[in-house]
Amino acid sequence: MNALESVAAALLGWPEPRFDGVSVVVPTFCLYPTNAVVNVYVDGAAREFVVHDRGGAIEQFHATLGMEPVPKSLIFGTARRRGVSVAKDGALFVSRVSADELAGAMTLVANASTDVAHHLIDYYRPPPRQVLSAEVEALLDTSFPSQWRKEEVVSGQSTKKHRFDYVVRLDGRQLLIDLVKPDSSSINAAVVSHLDVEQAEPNRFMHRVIYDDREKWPSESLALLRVVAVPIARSAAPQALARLAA
Amino acid sequence: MRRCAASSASGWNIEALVRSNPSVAAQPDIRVTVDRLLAAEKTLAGTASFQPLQGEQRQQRWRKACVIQGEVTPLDIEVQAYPDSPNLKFRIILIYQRAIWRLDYSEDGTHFNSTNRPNDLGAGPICGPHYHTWEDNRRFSTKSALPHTLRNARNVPSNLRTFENAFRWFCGETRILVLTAEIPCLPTRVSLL
Repeated sequence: MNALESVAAALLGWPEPRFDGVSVVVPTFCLYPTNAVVNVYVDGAAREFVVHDRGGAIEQFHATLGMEPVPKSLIFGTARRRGVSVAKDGALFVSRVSADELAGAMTLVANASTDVAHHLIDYYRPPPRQVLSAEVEALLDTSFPSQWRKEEVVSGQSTKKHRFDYVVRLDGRQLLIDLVKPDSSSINAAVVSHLDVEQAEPNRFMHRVIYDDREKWPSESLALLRVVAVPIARSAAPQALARLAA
Repeated sequence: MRRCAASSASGWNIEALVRSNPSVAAQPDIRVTVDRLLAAEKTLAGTASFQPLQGEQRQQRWRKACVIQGEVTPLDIEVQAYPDSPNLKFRIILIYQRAIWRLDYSEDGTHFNSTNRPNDLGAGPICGPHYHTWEDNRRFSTKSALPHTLRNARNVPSNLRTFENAFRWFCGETRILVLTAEIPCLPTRVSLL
């Protein structure tokens, strides 16, 4: 068997198009980020067809991060670059496809579907389902019952008064905790207030910032926070606060 | 039940397990946390029903939190249903921040495994219903980050041909104790076509 025959034999093992009762299902050679094969679906009669992904790109996002609503605006840009349309339910499609254009349209939809799935999985994070502050307060109640105060003011070296989200009174020291969001104003405010307060009374305070690691955080933002405080990921906060209480 | 209160994790038994290992306590390894969450015997918390996503009846989800020794954990089980699909189609996912164990039930689904896979796992293609285990995909995790996606999968046992069987099997594999009354019923078709 020569190479050409081997390749041809290998391709025979790939799933073939089939009719599922509604559409012709075409397994393509494109892969989603999950390594699932991209299927495209062809509806229509003999002369004009619609080629779509039956919402496959969004399904891949749901399969990876749970079934959360996805803003369609996140899909439009990527879809438009590939020249495909977005249906109301988020499915990508090309309509009015002639028989001659069918192969090209299937390739186009498959690649667009892969691009959209990559974009969603890489960049979109659903809004946190719980309010971070409520979670942190529950943790503080457990680790430091009746030792913590919310939104307490502490003066810095500059004499400016800084409001911290939580202040925990420990033996001789105070634990200052801020909740931070991945935007520059939140980060800068935390950096300035922790720095100013530390310079006023070095070693009197312990500095912590808690961030929600379900959101996308650039490493440089965390590095900046690390200059003045110990950043704690939301998912690690239970252990971190328990260790501080121990 | 307030989820935030439930995730006050110093109370989680599983977190206590994680902390009991000094090396882990010094610098928590998310892989160890997941290993221990999966190894622990779990039950399901509260009640749930299928809810359409953004009013879209064609995609519906059912989600419950897992409980370990009475403490609600950040581990959720989610069922995704597609009642208008021409063939039986659903997903069962164990979610800890993102999917860590998943069963994809679809006649249309084809999966191709990563080149980085266990020795006993072929490349594929895997056609039809398949499942992605934590064990097969743990290799894509780092100390601080879970696998971006679950790239390795296996065919489901051939006897799993109904949702109820698949749900029981999934719970068995992930050590979730489930009563018959707790198994959700998949939503029925919502459109004629």
